[in-house]
Amino acid sequence: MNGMSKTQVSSAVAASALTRAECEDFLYHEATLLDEWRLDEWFDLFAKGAIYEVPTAGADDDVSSSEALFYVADDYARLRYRIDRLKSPAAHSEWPRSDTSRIIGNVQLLGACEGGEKVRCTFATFRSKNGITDLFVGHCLYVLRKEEASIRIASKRVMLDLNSLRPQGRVSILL
Amino acid sequence: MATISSTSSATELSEGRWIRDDRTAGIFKVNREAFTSQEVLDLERERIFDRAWLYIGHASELKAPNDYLTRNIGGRELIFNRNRKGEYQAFLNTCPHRGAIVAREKCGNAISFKCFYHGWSFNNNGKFATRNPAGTYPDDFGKDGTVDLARVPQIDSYRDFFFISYDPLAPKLRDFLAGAKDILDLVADHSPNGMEIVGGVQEYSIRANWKLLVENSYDGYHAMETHETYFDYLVQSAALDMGSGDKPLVSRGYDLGNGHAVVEGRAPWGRPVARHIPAWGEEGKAAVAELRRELVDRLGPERAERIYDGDRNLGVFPNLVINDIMAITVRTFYPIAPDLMHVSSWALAPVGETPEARKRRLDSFLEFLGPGGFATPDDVEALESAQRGYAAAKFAPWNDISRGMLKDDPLGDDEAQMRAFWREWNRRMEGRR
Amino acid sequence: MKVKFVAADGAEQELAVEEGVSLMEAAVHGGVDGIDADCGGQLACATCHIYLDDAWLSRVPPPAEDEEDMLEFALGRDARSRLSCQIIMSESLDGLVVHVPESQA
Repeated sequence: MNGMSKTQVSSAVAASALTRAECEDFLYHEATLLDEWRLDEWFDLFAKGAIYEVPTAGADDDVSSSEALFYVADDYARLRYRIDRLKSPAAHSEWPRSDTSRIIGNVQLLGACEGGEKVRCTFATFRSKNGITDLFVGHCLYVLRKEEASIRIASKRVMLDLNSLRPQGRVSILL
Repeated sequence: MATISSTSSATELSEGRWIRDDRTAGIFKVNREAFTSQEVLDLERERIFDRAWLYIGHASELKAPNDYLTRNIGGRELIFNRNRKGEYQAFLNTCPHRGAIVAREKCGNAISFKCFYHGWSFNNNGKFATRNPAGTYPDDFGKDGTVDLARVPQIDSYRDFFFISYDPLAPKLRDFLAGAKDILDLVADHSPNGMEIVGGVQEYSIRANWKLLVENSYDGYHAMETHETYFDYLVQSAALDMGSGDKPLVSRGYDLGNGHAVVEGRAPWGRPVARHIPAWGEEGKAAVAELRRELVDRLGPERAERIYDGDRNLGVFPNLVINDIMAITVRTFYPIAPDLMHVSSWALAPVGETPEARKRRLDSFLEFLGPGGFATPDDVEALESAQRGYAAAKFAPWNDISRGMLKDDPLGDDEAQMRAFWREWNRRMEGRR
Repeated sequence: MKVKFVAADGAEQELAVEEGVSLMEAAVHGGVDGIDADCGGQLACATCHIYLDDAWLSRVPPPAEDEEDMLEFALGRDARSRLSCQIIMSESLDGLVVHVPESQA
């Protein structure tokens, strides 16, 4: 880092406070929690005030939930309720629970932003219930940051790279 | 099980192949074959979808002359457009040459359409517009309109809701709509500036027969049971207005004629048109009060109250649902197979809504009406579950929809609205127009 | 920049047209009667046919070969005939005057 001032060096370090290996480990861990239906532990991965969104299939990355229909546009409180609902047998589309398996790939760090580090990955999530397996595929846009020694999700946006929810019919699992 | 259709006295008992309608005893049964049989679906396509009026879109989806969109309606690919004069039209989206899809984009603005296969061009009135060297075709080729884009036989609108019919003999839309017009008026009257489709479309599917979604869409009976977790959410997030003691939350089911029906009453959730809930805070409260004032000024207190404080789930025969509840959805669905339907769902909103009100509306929509919310996935589950149950039809052949049949004023959780649908369904399936 | 469309009965309609826009597009969006443009500018129909005003005959660049080919289908074609979808507005055409053929009225 020749020729950089002390402040420039420390911001550069802060800007890349997360390594790709750390992000990959985090995302694989998140996927495992979801596949194992460890929903409270999954919720704990979110920073306070975090948001969780799933725009309509095929939307642009920067679509706004104030203007377009989304499948999910949860603030922190609604996300908490979503989990409480899924833990209950009264969430009928997930009772009995479906079996899921997620593959996470193409993890990329896209640079710092307000709130943390932008991280992108692709995903393929298989959901099986009543003898039918549906596939959800796309890419996720995260803002991750370190809080104390752990990584936390400041925001997660799941972009479905599908033309529609046909034949899936619903987004009832946590993508 | 299969009997010839017979009616004893004019209206007392009607037994057809799929329906048992005994008004004296108050028993109504639907044979489950109606949900599983390919033969039934083939007949439905011929006698219902190709004869009735089918919703194609809302006027607001084509805002300017030459705007167009493409959409599958009743199993066929269509172009829905406006010509240079702004007239709304609908064409079959298939090249008169050798069939390729002519307009391939979801929407756009075009004064002409050109087929990618051999370059045949058409203006946006469908007129064939490609010159060929002399001798290629007969001199008067195309002059009789046979190589123009084929128009859909009928297109018409009511309060900006556009419908098409594949039957040139179908009675006029206004007559077809019968009492449903009154409900469409209530929805269209939400705003002094007109209504528009906002936020895009959500397309999903359900592995169940299309008629199950008709029934589900105005089924008051299932609300507390299936959607317990949605109501828990409303309680938890201060999103309820239980109203005052003298306005109980009663809803009723009404037969609107011609197979259309509505459930109307007062529900406890917030209504973006003008029923406040604490969760919307002081800003929301003031905004809602203003909306109410405007409604009362424009429509008078009685009609205004019916709009701001009345929730309604409307089914327009055969496959259009408009639910004017915590948001407004316009939803159509079409059978791909006896056990598979494709659903398209849009949101309707007042033109000129503030961004804050729009956000509240879209939030309300996705919490309940969208396929990722706390309600619709469970409806999807219920319908798919029923469809799986119908495999046992040989030993359990009949659905019962008798609820409230002997009442003069059935409630929203009775099944009068389903009976209205099935009677019209049966009438058409037996070959009557 | 301005273009004047003169109808067969003498009625005039002047439109403001931007650089790079074809006369046909200007006519369609400006609501000029008689410019059908059925193929939308694909050089496939010859229904955007206009006559250049005598004063402008020598001031407009001549047609390319494919426009020449399509001009054969233009009704009432004569030496002043052009397909308006092929005339693109530029500074040198400011004030252009064209006539809408009677056959398209």
